[in-house]
Amino acid sequence: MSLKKQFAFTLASVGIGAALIGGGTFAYFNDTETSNNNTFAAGTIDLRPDLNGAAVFNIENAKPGDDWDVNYNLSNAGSLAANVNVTADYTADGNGDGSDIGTQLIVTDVQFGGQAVTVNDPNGGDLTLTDLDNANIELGALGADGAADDEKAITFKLTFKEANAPQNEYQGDSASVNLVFEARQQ
Amino acid sequence: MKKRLALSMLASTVAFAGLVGAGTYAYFNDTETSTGNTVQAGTLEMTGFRNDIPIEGPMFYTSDGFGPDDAGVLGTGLWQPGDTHTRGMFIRNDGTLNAKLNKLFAEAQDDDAMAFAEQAHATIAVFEPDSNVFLNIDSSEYADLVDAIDQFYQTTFDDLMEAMFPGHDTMELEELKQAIKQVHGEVKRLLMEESFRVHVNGDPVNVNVQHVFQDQLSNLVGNDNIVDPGLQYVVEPGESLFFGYTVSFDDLTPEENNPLQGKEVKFNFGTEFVQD
Repeated sequence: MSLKKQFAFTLASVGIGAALIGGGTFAYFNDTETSNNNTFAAGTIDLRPDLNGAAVFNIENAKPGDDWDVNYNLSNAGSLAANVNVTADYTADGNGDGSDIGTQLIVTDVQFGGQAVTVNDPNGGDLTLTDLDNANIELGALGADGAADDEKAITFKLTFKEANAPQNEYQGDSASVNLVFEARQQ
Repeated sequence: MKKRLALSMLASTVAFAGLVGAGTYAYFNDTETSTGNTVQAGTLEMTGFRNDIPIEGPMFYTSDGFGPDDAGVLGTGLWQPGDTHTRGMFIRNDGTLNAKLNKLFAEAQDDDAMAFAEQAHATIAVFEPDSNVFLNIDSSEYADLVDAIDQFYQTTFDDLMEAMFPGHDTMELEELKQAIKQVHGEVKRLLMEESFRVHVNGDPVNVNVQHVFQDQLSNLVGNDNIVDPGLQYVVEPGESLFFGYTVSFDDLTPEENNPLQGKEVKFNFGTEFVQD
């Protein structure tokens, strides 16, 4: 009797072993721990006003000796502080005689938020509007919206040079400057 | 005479036949009984927690706050490309079985989160288990530890980027992505050799980085990230592992990064342990 029972038990063990050896899904103990709702919020940089190509200055009927104070406000409506720079693209219309009025228009006292801005003068002497073609100028910082420095004025003086000699080739000439203002994250 | 013999022979045969068949036997025996044999399964139970104020809540959140509804006092602030922040969590073995790290994974909440994940790297540093240390670090030590990891990562990344790719400011997008990936890999290598100092009851103790997992955050999303067998770290009951999660928002091109301006995205970061 005992022999028979023992024999039956051994058979059963083999059966279990066979089931374990096969492939397929394994049952095992596991536990998962998760840290939920980790938040990553990106800030924004939003330079204002939205220009869409609008002109910042428009000077008419200029003559030697005239000067103008240009004043234009830039602000940051975003949540991140930014550094502002401007790239200028200058074109002259010589009114048929190839004269470039930009050479007679002197730029001085460039400031941003009341702080002097360093402008590189490639040709030495007076800094003229023509000198600013393809120039990239670092203006300074604008704080995030709500900061004390989130709005600053860019100011400069433009003077039509007096040469103490006739400058008639410039009569009727015009020039235009395209400005691209960029606010970059700091 | 004949009759008597036949009868006795038959009778004897019958008697023998009775003995040969099966049936109850009488014999000497003794029995021993063993009772109460049990099989009890051990438990695999891990508990995750931060060790700063308050203890519940996500590792990464934006703003600081001391109130009961605030996430904590280690807010990251707003993110911009180039930012790196490190936060951490402890996983303690509260079960009776050894637990083996099997998977590290993340879950992204939505498409915006996946867009962020495509522009971010995650580096997860696993620190050696030592309950004497990790269960006795107070919240300011915890803050110092994540800050130290953070500083190491940022400084090393910036230095290596300048050294390995000095012209990275003018690279095209694909080249830049490769460069960034390579620099992250170098930082990972150096992080693995690093140890950081914490103070337990005023005494300085070094905690060592055991291993670092690193990938683009988008590759961490999904549940298939089985840890390599050689790196499946085992935690004994009562021991804790500390995971330092360093997330970097990669500084790519404005065209690539700008669509993420103003977006707030959420991730779950998970660990799965299995029996050893």
